[in-house]
Amino acid sequence: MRKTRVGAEEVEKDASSAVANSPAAQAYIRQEAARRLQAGLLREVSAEMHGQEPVRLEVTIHQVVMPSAAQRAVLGGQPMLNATVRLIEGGSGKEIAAYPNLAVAINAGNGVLGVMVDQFATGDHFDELVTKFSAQYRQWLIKT
Amino acid sequence: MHFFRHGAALAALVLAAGCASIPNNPLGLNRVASMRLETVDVQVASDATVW
Repeated sequence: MRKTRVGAEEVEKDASSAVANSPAAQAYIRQEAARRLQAGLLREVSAEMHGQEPVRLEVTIHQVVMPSAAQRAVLGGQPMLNATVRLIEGGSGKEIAAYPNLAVAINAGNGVLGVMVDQFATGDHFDELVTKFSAQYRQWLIKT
Repeated sequence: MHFFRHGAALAALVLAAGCASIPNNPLGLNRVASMRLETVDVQVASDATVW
């Protein structure tokens, strides 16, 4: 810590930010985000596709925001995910449809009380984000 | 309470921005049903904001 006299919240925020921003943590978050989003989209979108025309999804994640409990208690913030999803023909590689910058956010408890309630009431926020993102993409895909 | 409102307002802003730019979907339900999803490739952009 550079400062010698800081509040407990500031120490906790600095520590959690430092951990989250370390190269190892960044690599882990990126890998885990990609893995979970892949599984979520595969599960959700496959449910609508029953034919023979082979296709694939190419997804590029632009933003993952997962504010820590300490940050939400002190500063507030909501988990968010933003990614571009391209539907590609399996054979030719031609793009069939694209949804650029599909953004979703979920509610997470803020403030000390909100975080305490949230810890007991909800599960993994990233899984919630993935579920919401995949469902929103699926809805868009089958919309007529 | 202030932070609670701040967070909710931010989330609403993100969702509003997302809704405002929903692209047209050229496919219909039948076309989608005729497809078979082989793979999902996910990458994180090199300039992505992750925290």
